[in-house]
Amino acid sequence: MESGKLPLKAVVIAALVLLALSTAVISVDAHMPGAKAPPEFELSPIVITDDGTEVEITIEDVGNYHNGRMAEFKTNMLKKQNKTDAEIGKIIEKEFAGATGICPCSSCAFRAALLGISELWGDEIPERADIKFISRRPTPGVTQCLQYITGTGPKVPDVKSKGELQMILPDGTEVTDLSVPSLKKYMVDMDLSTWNFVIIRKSTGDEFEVQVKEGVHPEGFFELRKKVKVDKMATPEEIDEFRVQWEAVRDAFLTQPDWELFEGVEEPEEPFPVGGAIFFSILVTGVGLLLVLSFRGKAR
Amino acid sequence: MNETEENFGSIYFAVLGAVALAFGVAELIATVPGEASWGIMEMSGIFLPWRAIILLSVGFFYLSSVKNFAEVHQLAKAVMASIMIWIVAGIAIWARIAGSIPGEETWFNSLEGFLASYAPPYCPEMFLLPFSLVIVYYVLKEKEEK
Repeated sequence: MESGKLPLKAVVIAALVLLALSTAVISVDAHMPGAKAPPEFELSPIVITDDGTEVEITIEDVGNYHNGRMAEFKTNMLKKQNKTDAEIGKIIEKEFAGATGICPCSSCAFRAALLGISELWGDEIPERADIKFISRRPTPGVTQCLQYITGTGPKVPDVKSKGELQMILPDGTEVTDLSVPSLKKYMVDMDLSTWNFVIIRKSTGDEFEVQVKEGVHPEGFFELRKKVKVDKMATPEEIDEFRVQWEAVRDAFLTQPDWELFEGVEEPEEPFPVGGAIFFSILVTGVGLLLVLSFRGKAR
Repeated sequence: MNETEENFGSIYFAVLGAVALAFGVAELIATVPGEASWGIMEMSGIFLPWRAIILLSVGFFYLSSVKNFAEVHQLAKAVMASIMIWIVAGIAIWARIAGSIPGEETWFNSLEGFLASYAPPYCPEMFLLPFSLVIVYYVLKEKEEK
């Protein structure tokens, strides 16, 4: 081994490791690097009125907001690490390339809000100030989705009135600081009980609880998430496995019906197929007539 | 076949031929996007171009049979056109019968699932089927006369 080359090699390796660590030191849950784009889906928008103006909120609006907030958080974090603007720009561009902000958390919160609003308001359009959410899940995806709907988040566009968002964890802890660094402290052990929301119609006091069903998440999802996102002890194979599970959960929230995703939602009964019954009756009658006529013909 | 019956047959199959021709053109146009629907009528499936050609032929055969309808060769054209409809519509009905019996995850379908298999939309040939049966009357009439 040439002793003169070793320090240079070590410095290069150390520099590369530091560079990699600096970009990945705090995982950004807004997206999953390397995740495939979601399949085609159709989700109706959340329609509310804000001080008399009708506002349509789509899952894409929520995703863009979530993406923007997370990019801002990451930028601030990198600034604290004394990165130059050019370096920050490169890192953000690389890390957020192709990210839509539509993750399992934001899509679940969107579906829960959509379901809760339709259950509590029916065909009426709710006023933004009349909506209150209680979230049990302290993730940026859920929080920023609900902040966007209630207009309580920073930089939500065209907000005239505000709803309410409260975060009470399953153990009863109330989280009042809903900023990303604050939420990170609570994102350690998150099981199925955190996939829970209460939607409240403030004017009447009516409530509707949305709890994600067991089985929506693949087996071992929560343990694997902790290993990958919190402990950071996962092998590359486990990271790949988690990415696949992450995509499956996101896709479920984007494509499956409410009764497959949430507890207590009844599958709507299919109406009796009158058209099919009429056609089948005509078919049977026709075949019967044909048989009668052919037997008569033979008898003659 | 008396004159009234002949006149009725001519007019009836001229109208039926025109309708079949219109459906054939519609199916031919529907092959471009791959499917089209209108109310409870739907034009789709991998055999759509072939069905369009068959319907166009049906239309032409019916229309070419209306002049001197009582003549046996003319009547034969209308019979052939009707048989073409019966084959295509028969296949469509058979596909529904076969698909209505097994359930999605069970051996046998539920009653609702079974009946839902026969619900609209229907292909144009199925709409033409009952009207094409009128030809049976003329065939029997021809047979009686002989």
